Amino acid sequence: MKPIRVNKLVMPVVVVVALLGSVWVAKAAGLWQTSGRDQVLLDEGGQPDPAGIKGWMTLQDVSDTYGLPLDAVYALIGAGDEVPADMALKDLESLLPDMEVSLVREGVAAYLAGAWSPEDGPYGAEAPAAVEIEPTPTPGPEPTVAPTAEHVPQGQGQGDGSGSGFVLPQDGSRVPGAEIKGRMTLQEVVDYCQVPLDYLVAELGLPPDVDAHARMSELAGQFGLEVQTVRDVVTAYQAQP
Amino acid sequence: MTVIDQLQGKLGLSRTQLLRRLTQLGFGLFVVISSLRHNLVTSEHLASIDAYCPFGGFATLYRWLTSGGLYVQKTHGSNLVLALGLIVGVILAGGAFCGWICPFGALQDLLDWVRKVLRLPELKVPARLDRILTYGRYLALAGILYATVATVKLWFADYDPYRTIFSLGWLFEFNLAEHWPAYAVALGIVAGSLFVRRFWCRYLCPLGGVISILGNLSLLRIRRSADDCKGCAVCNAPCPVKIDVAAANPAVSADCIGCLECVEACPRPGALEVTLGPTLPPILRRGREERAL
Repeated sequence: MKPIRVNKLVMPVVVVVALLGSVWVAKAAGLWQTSGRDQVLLDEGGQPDPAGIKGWMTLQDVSDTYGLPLDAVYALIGAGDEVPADMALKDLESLLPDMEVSLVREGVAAYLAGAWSPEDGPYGAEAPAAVEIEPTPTPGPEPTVAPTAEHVPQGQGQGDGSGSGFVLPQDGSRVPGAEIKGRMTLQEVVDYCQVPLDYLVAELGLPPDVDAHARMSELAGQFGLEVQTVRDVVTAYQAQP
Repeated sequence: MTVIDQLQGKLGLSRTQLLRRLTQLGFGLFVVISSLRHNLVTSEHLASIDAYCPFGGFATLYRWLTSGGLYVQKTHGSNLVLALGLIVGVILAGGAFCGWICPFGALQDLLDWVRKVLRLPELKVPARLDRILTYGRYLALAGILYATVATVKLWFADYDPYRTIFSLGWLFEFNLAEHWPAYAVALGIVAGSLFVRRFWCRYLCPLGGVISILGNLSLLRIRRSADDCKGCAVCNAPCPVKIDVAAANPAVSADCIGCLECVEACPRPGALEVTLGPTLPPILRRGREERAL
């Protein structure tokens, strides 16, 4: 087939139209997403779901999205007035030793359910009593760390929402990736979510000699790890057949 | 006399090249304004320029496909959409994205203009070395994609000169201790582009690697007519990516950025034209030519 001569400007016009056209079609189809912050996670009742609280959210965002007074958000994390309302939760994690995004999720959920009020003090301030639970079977490396009072998972139905909030299924099934907490260690993720340590380390881009017994909140400071990324990676692994 | 005519006269550009500069300016301003708003307007969650990069779509594609819809950090659905738009555009019309849309390409054109104004010498890379260096784009592409898959992070973001410059982090969050590798790479590329035309595009751009590969399939190509061409090679001089247009047989290289400067420079009507028609990939073309011989 012999090539047909065309106006030279057809070339750039086609490229511009293809690019802008794809954007237009994606917008029309509701697929155009330029940020993970565009959407608020809603629960079954159509209300903002505290599970959708992310590290990039500021205290003001949490207050606005979930209808808590700003003072209640401050009380929930035990922050003083010196903390600005436009500070992101993930930035606060490095400032307040006991602060975790997962705790904020639980605290907001507890507030909305009437199980916590600002008068109760910072949410999850007191560690729960240790509960001895056998780790679930795992295809990965054997757990090498004994549970301590700091990070012992609570048994089914024993959690009161004031500790790590971590609930280990009693039936031996693995813990879903979405329930991973920042205060868990990598080894705990391996043990409870039944994900091989090597896989986890590789997928998270961590050095092979990373301390598996360090909390993920500590690894966050060291390697820029985000707990949500760990959840995503584990969820993806668990979704594999 | 229209405004266009006046601009043409002042800038000494043809109508097509003026249109190209205005298009580049438009897309460049869009990116700069988006970046400024992202940095300055904190009350809204405005998109960062990461969301407007087609290469982010290629970087996140593997993760998106293998994880059931998850993205590498800093990438979003918009990256995939732009990557798809780019693929369609390249298959239809080759690398005109680089010559007309890419803000980093526009910046390099601006640096070339600065070089001319300052009367700095242009470094001519010997043809053989130039050919070898162009493989740097494919190496960069392979390395970046591998690192992204292996780390599940937008690994290249910490070094990407386009991101370093256009995210305006150097203006709003300057941190030499933390970001010195990114600043060093960006400064190196800017310095290189000041003396070598389209330095980044020719030798290092990973997106250019993708476009160059796909460009072999493009339907719209600049083609040289062996019957009309007298081999004066006037068309070679203005090419920003130093393609040997005069030796095109018949379609010019898939590295072409579609700037159309060669077409405009050609003194022989019909010798160099934009044409529509399928072009066989070089491997198949070579086989066909050999059979014909």
